[in-house]
Amino acid sequence: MVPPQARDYIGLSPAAAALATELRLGLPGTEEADLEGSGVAEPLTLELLPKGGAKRGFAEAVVGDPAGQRRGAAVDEEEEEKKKKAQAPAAKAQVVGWPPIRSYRKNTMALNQPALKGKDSDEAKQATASGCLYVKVSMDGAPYLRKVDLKIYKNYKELSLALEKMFSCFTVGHSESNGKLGRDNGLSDCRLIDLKNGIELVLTYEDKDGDWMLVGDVPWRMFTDSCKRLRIMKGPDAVGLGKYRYCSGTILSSTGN
Amino acid sequence: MGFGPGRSQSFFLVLAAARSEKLGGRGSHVQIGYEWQMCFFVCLLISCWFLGERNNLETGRKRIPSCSSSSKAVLGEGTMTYFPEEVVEHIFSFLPAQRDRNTVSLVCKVWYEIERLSRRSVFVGNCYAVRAERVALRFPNVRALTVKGKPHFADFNLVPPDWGGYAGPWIEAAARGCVGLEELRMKRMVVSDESLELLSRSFPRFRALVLISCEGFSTDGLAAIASHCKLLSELDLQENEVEDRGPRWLSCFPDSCTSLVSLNFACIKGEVNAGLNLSYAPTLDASDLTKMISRCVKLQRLWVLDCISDKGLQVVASSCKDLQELRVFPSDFYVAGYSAVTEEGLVAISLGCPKLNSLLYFCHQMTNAALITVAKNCPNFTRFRLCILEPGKPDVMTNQPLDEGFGAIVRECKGLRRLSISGLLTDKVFMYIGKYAKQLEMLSIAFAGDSDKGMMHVMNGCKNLRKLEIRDSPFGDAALLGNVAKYETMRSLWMSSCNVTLKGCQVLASKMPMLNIEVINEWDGCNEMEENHGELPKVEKLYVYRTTAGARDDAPNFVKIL
Repeated sequence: MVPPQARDYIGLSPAAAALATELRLGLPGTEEADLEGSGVAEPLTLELLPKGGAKRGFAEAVVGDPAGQRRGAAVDEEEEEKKKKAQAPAAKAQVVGWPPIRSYRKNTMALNQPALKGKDSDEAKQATASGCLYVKVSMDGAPYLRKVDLKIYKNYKELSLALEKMFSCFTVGHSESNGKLGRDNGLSDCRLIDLKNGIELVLTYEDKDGDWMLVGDVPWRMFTDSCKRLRIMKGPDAVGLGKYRYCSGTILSSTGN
Repeated sequence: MGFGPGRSQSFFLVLAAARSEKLGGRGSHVQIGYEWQMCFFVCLLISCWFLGERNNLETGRKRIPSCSSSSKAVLGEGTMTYFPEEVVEHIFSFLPAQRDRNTVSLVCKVWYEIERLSRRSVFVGNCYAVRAERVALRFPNVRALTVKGKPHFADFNLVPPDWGGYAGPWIEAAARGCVGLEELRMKRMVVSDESLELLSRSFPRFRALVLISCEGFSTDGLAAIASHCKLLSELDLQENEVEDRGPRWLSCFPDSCTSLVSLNFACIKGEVNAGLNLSYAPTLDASDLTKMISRCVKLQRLWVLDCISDKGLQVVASSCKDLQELRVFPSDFYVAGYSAVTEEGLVAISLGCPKLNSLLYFCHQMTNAALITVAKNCPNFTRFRLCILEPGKPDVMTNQPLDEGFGAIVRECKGLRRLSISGLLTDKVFMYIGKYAKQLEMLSIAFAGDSDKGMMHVMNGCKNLRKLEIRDSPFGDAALLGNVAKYETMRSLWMSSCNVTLKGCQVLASKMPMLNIEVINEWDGCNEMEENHGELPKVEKLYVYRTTAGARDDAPNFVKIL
């Protein structure tokens, strides 16, 4: 069985991107070293502008979580199968505002997708979340909110990386776990760090019942179905939750602990 | 019956005035060839003269006192005021186009006054190009007002929320100064319920509201419109973000009202002649769809999803010989590689529908050969928008850039007014555009070009360019500053994720004070990043537009107006 090859969505620098986005199947933890080494830990920036600096990252490029990192959940197996079948890259870079279609149309079409043609039904299911499309994201201390479309992400890691990019101006970075955390893929995938102070931020969401929950506990799709808004917490409010995280394993922060 | 001294004096005076843009107050930004002016005014004078001689007009309206006194003072005896304003106004009524009316208002103060008081329809392409109060003061008798707000790329989420484009000032100014308003059209503006409430109460003859791609209001605002606008005959809501507070608003319409609301519909029975919009209907089976369309032989406008496939487009091509506008939308944006329509469908359409003049086509692949064929078959394109879904994708057969294909389009379609390009493109395509697209008014560029030269070709060559919007292309300060005078002839320029620096924007601002240079960086904290990186900070999003209103006072903190 040939592992599916992810192609660079833009197609302009296939050689450079190929290794970084190569999908692998396997047990958790076995490929970590390889993947880290090939730079997949950093979000891909699409090198469309040769003169552009690396910090530009105009595209909210998200790294598709290589299939190999999926652990356990039945939901993930279905996705793995789909990835095997599909020619399309699973690591689909979503460029902001592309294709140039009005949000109104995008949202309406997305809602209509379940009724669509059979061969893409898996993809269609993936793309549809009944209810939540754009949700507000607030960050403690930031003067204004953002909105994200949860449907364009496939898993917690993509969401977390996108949030990091979105709030990077507030010196939020991504903290990499070293992967030895067992099943807690959701929680470990959502580690955000206040780079200035080295404290970890906590990503929470408000669900349909109005309760504030920690992001990462439930399977991705269950999360997107029930998430109404997101909040990045820091400071004393987060202490209780943060402690929980610190206990789960070692954390690498940019302050080099 | 010859030209006496008085009339020839006024003739030359009028010509002199026409050449000077300073007389008669500030019209809009118009560029008219001198020859055209000559012809127009000669005809006008001759017709005025005839009408004046025969003296055979109804004089129902009062003379405008300020008009005649100021005119006598400024122009003296034996001038155009020989003809009563009703005559001039009557002549102006044959000039409905805003550009023509702007022109006549530049001739002299008298004509300016006559024109502005008789103007019925005002179009404001950029709500920040002029102050709302000024428009209301100048045109107190306006009946139909159209205002546009956000730049076009706001449709694709490239403009941050809260950027601006508020309808409030416009509705307030009109409520104060233009009580005869009957129609309001707004596009990409932020409209509040309070504004809709004010609208519904301020204009007793109000009858038509059209909101396209607007936001900020709820069904409560619509309820106010329905309840208080007794003469409402048209309510057209397209692709707005409306907060739905329940269906109560629908029952607020009086029984006598015939209102039209845009609907999405999934199936049509019977024949359709004018237009068919199936672009929200993915559930239609492809064969049912093509069967239905094959019956619509008089169809002029068709909007469909790409699940119609190339085969379906061939059916359209063989059935719909009157087709003028075609839009093919992608049905699944998140999967690359699956293509329901290709270049073949487009070629088929071009072969079968020679009257086609407006195209919006989303596809996954294209070839130069196909575009060249399309250009030859359909030289009548006025709007040609091709979106190849993968940015930077080359000709799928030859792997070459699509320069030649688009080059053929601009070369053959001499009346092209709007163009959107995509795929792999070098500076060469811009050379073609600058060389051939002389009627082009709006150009959309994404992921294209190699260097500043590309943008410069366009700026220097496209004489009628009004709107230029660019994203993710390697154009920098040299291109931005290469032809600064051009911006005064354009409505706006948008550049995002290009290579323009803050310094370049500052230079432009200092050279062109009549422009607003809006630098949109979404994060205040980015100043830190700039310092840390020590390189010239690149501007994330740039919006440049001409204005008489100066820097706007409603800009959010992430917009810096230089």
